[in-house]
Amino acid sequence: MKLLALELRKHRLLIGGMLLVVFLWAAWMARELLAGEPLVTLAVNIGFVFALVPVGLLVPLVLARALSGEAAGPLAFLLTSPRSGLAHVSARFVVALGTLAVYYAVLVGVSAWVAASVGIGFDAWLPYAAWGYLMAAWVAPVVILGIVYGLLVAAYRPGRAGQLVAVAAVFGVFKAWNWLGEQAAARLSFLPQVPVPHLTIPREVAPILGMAPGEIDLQTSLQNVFSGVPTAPVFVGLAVTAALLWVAVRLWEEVEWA
Amino acid sequence: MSVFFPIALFYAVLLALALWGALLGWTRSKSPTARYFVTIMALVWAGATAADAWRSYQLFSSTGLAEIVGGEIGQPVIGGYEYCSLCYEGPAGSVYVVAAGGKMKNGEYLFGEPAHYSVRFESGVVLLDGRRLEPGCYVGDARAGTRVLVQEARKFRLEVGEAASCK
Repeated sequence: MKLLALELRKHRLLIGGMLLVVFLWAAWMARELLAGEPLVTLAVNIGFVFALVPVGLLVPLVLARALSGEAAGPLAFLLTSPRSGLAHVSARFVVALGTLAVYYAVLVGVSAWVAASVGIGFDAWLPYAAWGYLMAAWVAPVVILGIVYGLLVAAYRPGRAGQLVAVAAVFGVFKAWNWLGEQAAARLSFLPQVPVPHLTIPREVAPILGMAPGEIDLQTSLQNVFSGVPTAPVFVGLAVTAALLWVAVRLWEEVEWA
Repeated sequence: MSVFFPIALFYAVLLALALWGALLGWTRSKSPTARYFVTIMALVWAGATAADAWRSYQLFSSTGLAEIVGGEIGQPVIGGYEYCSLCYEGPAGSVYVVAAGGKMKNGEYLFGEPAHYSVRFESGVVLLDGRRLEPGCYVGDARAGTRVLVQEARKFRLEVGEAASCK
């Protein structure tokens, strides 16, 4: 609990800033939607979602930087009371994942609201599923990868090897992750599938999305192509997260305790 | 041969970085987890880079660079333009465009319904209903079942829809 509070205190500027930006954006979208043109709001929303999503990478990057300078940093006194590596690593992981969970929930929620008010019809579960899928398959592994990156840099100090070594390892992790994903997609077809959602796009919205004008139902137009969205990426993401968490815990105990 | 040089250089640099990372990773730390993790992951990256290089070498030597850049029409687009991603609607009406900046090979477009069209290409062999076209630009009205066959063409562009034109 204390570690969680300390993590929140350390990163309060980043967390507060990110949440402020995303809530301001939500308020602005709401104003536009209530006072202006829903169609224009949808177009602006699509643009801004593409612009805002990479901001979600800031949290792992900041974590990596903070961790790589931790042992001799201004908060080195935290290390005077030894706790398990699991406590340290999971405190960081929980704070970062919680921040990004709120961030992406606002992003997905506002987009769903804007879409619904222009007349795009979709299943009620779709926003929740999209958010959960995104968190498990992409955000959680990237956050723990940021933590591992910072610990690797710390494991190779002093010296200049740290950055190169950590970059090489991260590229390797991405390759292995990719390979695991391909294997899982090819072999784990028995896993449950998310059904293709009902997504009806009205006639006037289609041109904004770059489609031919006309009412389109995603489910009826895609049902011959595939039967459902595979959940293999979610399981692969969780496996990668667990493996990297184990690595991070061991790294912490070997590097920061020494 | 000279086409391969920049690509080979690119992969060689990546491979050198990966192997250097593996070497430094093994020698420069006292933490066993860091040593094993970094070395294994850097070698994974090196292996994947070598595999990528080998795959692209095979691809380039079997097909040539121009065709990869030019691309093919993956599957014939049949009929109207309901599900296409290259559709525009302007004051003159809507139009569906198939275009390749470089070379296009073995493309086929089958009209499912009567439509206004224009075909343009700079050089190569393009057949309209079995009739070979001279390079240039043609406008016309196709009936259902009209077939545009691209054996090989440079700067090919097919427009379908009311707004199709040679302008």
